[in-house]
Amino acid sequence: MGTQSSKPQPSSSARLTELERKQEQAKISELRNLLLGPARVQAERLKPYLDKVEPKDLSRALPTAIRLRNAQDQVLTDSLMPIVAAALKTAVKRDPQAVADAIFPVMAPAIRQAIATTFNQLIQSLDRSLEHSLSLKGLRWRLEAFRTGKSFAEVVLYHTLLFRVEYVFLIHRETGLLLQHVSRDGGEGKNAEIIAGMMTAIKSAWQDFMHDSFGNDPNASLSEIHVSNLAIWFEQGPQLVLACVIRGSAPEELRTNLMAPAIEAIHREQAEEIARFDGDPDPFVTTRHRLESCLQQRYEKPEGDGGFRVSPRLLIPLAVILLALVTWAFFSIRDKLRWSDYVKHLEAQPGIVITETGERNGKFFVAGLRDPMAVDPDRLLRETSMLSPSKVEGRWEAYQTLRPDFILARAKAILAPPDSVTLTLKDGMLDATGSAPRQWISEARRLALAVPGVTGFRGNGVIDEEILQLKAQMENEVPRFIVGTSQFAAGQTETRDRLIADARRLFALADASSLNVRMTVVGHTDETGPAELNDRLSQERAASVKALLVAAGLDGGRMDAMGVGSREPLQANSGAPGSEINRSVTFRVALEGPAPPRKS
Amino acid sequence: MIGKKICLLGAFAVGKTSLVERFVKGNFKEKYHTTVGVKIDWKIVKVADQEIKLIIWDVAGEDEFQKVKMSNLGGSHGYLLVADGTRGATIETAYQVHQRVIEAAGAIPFVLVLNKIDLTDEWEVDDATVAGLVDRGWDVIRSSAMTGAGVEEAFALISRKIVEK
Repeated sequence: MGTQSSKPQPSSSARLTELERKQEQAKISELRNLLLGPARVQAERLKPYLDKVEPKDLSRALPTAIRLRNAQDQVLTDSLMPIVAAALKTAVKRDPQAVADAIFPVMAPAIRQAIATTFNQLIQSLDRSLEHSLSLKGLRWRLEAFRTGKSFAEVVLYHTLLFRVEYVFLIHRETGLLLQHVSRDGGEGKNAEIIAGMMTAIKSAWQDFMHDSFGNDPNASLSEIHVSNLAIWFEQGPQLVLACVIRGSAPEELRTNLMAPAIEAIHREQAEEIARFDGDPDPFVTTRHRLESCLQQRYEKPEGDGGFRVSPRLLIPLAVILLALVTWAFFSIRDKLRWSDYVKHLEAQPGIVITETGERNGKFFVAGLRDPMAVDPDRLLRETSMLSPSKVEGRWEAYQTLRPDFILARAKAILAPPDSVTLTLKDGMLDATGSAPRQWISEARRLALAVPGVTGFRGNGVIDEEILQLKAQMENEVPRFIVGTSQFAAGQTETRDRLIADARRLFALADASSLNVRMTVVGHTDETGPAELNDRLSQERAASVKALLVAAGLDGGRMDAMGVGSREPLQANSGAPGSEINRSVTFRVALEGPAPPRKS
Repeated sequence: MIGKKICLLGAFAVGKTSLVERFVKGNFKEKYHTTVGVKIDWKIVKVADQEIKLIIWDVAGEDEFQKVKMSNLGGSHGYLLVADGTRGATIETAYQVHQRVIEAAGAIPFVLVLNKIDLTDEWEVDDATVAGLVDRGWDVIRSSAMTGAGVEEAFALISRKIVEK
C-alpha cells in the first residue's frame, strides 16, 4: 500500500483512491470475518442472554457450577460459610423447634451413646473397686491410695490397667505439622504441635541413623518408641502418620484392627484435602471420629478361680439391703436404749408408779399411777430424753401417794398458809407454827384433817396476828409524868385510855388462844436528882400505872411493876426538851404458849 | 489456623536457639547450650491480618564433624539462615547449607540473619560483603538475640515471604 500511495497523480488519484479504499475495506472486512467471525456469531447468540439471564437456565447450570467449583478449590465454601452460618442462626432464632427436629436424628443417638459410654465406664470402675475392696491385694492398694492421696478407684484402675491409648495424633508426614489430635481426657493439649513435630524429627533422625549405619532402606520407618511404661506407636500412610501414645502394653491387634484401617480410611476420605494441604488443619476436623476409634483401653479380667463368685453388680443391691438393715438396727437399738433409760428415770420419780411398759404398733407405751403433784411424764421425756415424744404413748391413773413430802405439799396446796406460817409433818401429824390471822387458824383446824395422809393437826404454835399487833402497840406506848411525881403529865388522857383498851383486848385474846401473857410496867426518870430518889420515883410511876390497869379491871396477877431509875434512859441527853421522855413508863409483854400435851 | 514450618539453619553457636528463645519466650540466656538433634517450638504471627501458626524447627548447628541433616527440612515452607557477624566464616557455612537446601528442597523462601550485632567491637562482616549478598537477591537482617534487635523483623519477614510466595 505504501508504494501505491507514493505515486502522485492528482487527476486520477481521487478515483483511484476511492477504489483502493473500497478494496481495502473489503479486505479488512474479510480479515475481520476470518479473525472474529465465530466469536461474533457467538456474541450475537449470547446477546439476548446477556440482556436477561433466565432463572430457569441458571437453575439448570447452578448445581453443576457449584460442584465444579467445589472440586477446583475451597473459595465457594469459604464464601458460602458466613451466609449459611447466618441463615442457621436466624433459623434457630425464629423457629428453634424446626432446627431441633432436624438435628434430632443426629443428636439423639450421639447423646445416647455418650451416656451409655459414661455409664459403662462408671460400672466398670465400680465393679473393679468392689472386687478388690476386700482382698489382701485390695488392702495393700487401699494403703497405697492413702499414702499417695489418690482415690482407691484410681489406684485399682492403675494396677489392673493392661493398656490405655491416651493420645492419638494425625501428623502430616512431610512437614510434621499436626492435623488433628484427640486425647482420652478431652484436654486440648497445648504442646500438641511440638509433640507432633518432635515425633516427626525423631522418626526422621532414626531413619537417617539406620540408613547411615546399617544401610537400611531409607523409606523404612520407625514404628514404635518405648519409654518405661509409655509407648508411641506410629502407623504410616503415604502422606500422613497416625501416632498413638499408649500407657501399658497394647496388643498387636490395636495396630492391625484399628490404627491401620483408620489411617487408610483417612487417606481415602481426605485425598483431596491432603493433596491441597497448605498448612491449614481445619479440613481434617472430620477425621476426629477415626482418631477416637483408636482411643482404646483394656483392664485385667478378674481372675476366675472356678469357685462360686458373686457378681459385683449383684453385690450392690445386697450391700444396699445390708446397709439398710444395719441402719435400721442401729436406730432401733438406740431407741430401745433411750426408752429403757427413760423408764428407769420415770420410775425414780416420786408420785409415779409404773405398772406396765412395752411396745405396741411401733410405739413404746407406759401405763401406771400418777399423783397429780408428781412430775409430768411428757415434760420429763421432752427435757431428759432424746427419744421423740411421737414414739411414746402414756396411760396414767391418778392416785395419791402417802409419801410425807407429797402429804406436806398437798396440805400446803389445800390450806394455803400465809408466809408467816411454817408447816411440818411428822408421822402424819401436821404442825403449824408462826403467826396468822385468827380466821386462817380456825379454817386450818377444820380443813387439816381432810388432807389425805394427815392424821392430826396442831395449830397451837400459830399465834393470832392481832395479839402480836397489840403487843407491839403496847410496847411502843410511852406515857409521860410530871417532874418529880408519879402523876401523868398534861395531855396524856388519850394515851391512858388507849392503854387500858389495848391491855384489855390483849388479855382477852390471849385467853382465847390459851396463851399465857405477862406484862411488865417499867418506870423511868430523868437523870436529875440523886439515884436513890430516882429509883424510888420510877418504882412509884410503874406501880401507879399497874394500879390504874388493875383499877380498870385487868388481872394484876399477870402484871409486874419495876423501876429502873435513870439507868435505862429512853434518850441519852437528859437536858430539856428531850429529857422529858425519860420521865415515863414503858411496857414489856411476854407471850408463852401452853405446854405441849404430854403423852401419858 | 494455617500452620507453616520453618527451620533455623547455620553453623554451630551462631545463636539459632537464642533467636527462637527470644522470639517465642522473649528472654535470653547467657549460657551456651549446644542443640542435639532438633528442638521444636511455635508461635502465632500475623501477616497482613491473617494469623498463622509458625512451627519453628531449631536444627542443630553445622560444624566440621556434622553437617545439617536435610531430613529435618522436609516440608519446610521456609528457613532462616543464621550466621554470626563476629565470625565471618559462618557466612560461608550458611552459604553452603543454603546450596544443599536448594539441592534437597528446591528454592523456598529464606532470610539470612546476621546475629550478635550487639558485639560491635568484635564485628567482622563488612558492609561490602552484605551488599554483595543483597545484590544476589538475598534478604539480610542484622539481629541480636540478646537485645532483641531485628529478631521480630527476621521472623516477620520470613513469614511474609512464605505467605506471599
